[in-house]
Amino acid sequence: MSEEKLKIREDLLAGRVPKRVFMQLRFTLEAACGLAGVDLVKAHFDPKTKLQAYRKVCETFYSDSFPIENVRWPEVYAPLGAKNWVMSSTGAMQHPEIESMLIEDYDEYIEDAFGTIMKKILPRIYPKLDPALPGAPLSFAKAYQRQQATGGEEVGAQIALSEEFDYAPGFFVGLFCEAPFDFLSDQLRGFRNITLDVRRIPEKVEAAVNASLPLMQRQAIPRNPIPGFTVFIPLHLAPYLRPADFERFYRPTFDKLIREINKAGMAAFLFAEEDWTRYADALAALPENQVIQFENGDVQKIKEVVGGKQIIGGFFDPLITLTRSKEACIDEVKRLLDIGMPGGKFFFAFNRHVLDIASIDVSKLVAVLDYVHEHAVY
Amino acid sequence: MADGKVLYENYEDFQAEHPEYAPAWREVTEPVILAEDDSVYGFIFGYLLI
Repeated sequence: MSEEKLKIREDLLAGRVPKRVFMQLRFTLEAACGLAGVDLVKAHFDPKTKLQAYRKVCETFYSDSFPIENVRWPEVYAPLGAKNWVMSSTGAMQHPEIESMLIEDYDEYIEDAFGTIMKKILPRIYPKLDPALPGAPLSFAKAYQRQQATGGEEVGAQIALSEEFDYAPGFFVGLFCEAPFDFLSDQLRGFRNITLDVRRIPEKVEAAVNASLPLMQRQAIPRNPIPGFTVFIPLHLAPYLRPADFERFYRPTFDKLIREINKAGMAAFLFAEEDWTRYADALAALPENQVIQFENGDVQKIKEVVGGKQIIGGFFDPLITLTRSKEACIDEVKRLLDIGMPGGKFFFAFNRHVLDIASIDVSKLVAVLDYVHEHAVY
Repeated sequence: MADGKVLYENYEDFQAEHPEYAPAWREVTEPVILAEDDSVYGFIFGYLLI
């Protein structure tokens, strides 16, 4: 493993100005297969094909850490009859809007969130976990065994390629949870329902978010936490909330969760989805040196408000390579580096994963990444 | 069955005829017990519900 890249990552996470800007890219398995010209469905089930796709991304694009994220494995969801992750005819894993917690379940959830999830919510998302079915334990055991086996194989592939391409670890190291409001909203009530609930039954929403906090704390913090580890938390819905609702429903438990993670010696790796500019103050007020990747937003303002305290990155949209000249793409990344780099605490990342290889121009993106690697030096 | 005969059409039929097995079987199907294990907890709350 590259000592230079490890040192850059270590300096960055410690809040020191590193030798150059750390680069963490993210391509999906779909994009990797498109680049390698291999069949996506086959890649899901054939480790050699998957490895071929991964290797093609590593060979093509410069990155300081392993550049592919693939965590939705169909063989895990299939034995459960999953409604939340389903494979399309092309092999893409899709995430439909679902409602697994009904409005009449609020009181029970507030009283016993864990029990309600186990007895009612899980079987609604995964019908084959209905406790009335004699085959339910076998379905669960199959899914669990496959998740453990595929997870092990995935980690093995990443380690092998990280050694081959001299990568440092990225910020996504396996620990994964959600802000309590997002947990309640995402796969339990659904995004559409929760926006109505905050107006119809605000007291119950507030109580249900509070009931979700211990579940996420237990998920985020292992019994034996590893100092320096990062816990990945994708932040979904705050930009869609009015400021008063953000302060009441989202921020208190989110803030508490991050502080508990920090008390355990770890940091949060937040993916601030959509535009968090108006809630930049809330991110700045978190304990120092959280890692935050932004999707959209006012880069200048976020650097001024958040950049002094937290480690920020993101913003760069790889889709511009499809519509702009190579020079214009490099100008765009220069502008981003000019704002982001001063004082350190900045890393380079895409605003979103590259989902489809047809959505980018490969040669122009290679030029952009080479420019960052060679010129984003302190 | 070897002769192709289906002995029990569903769980309820089995339970009615053999109540002595039902509690243990019911216990195993109860995911609350499984989720007490940390690794299973992580599978449920860090994978299935996120």
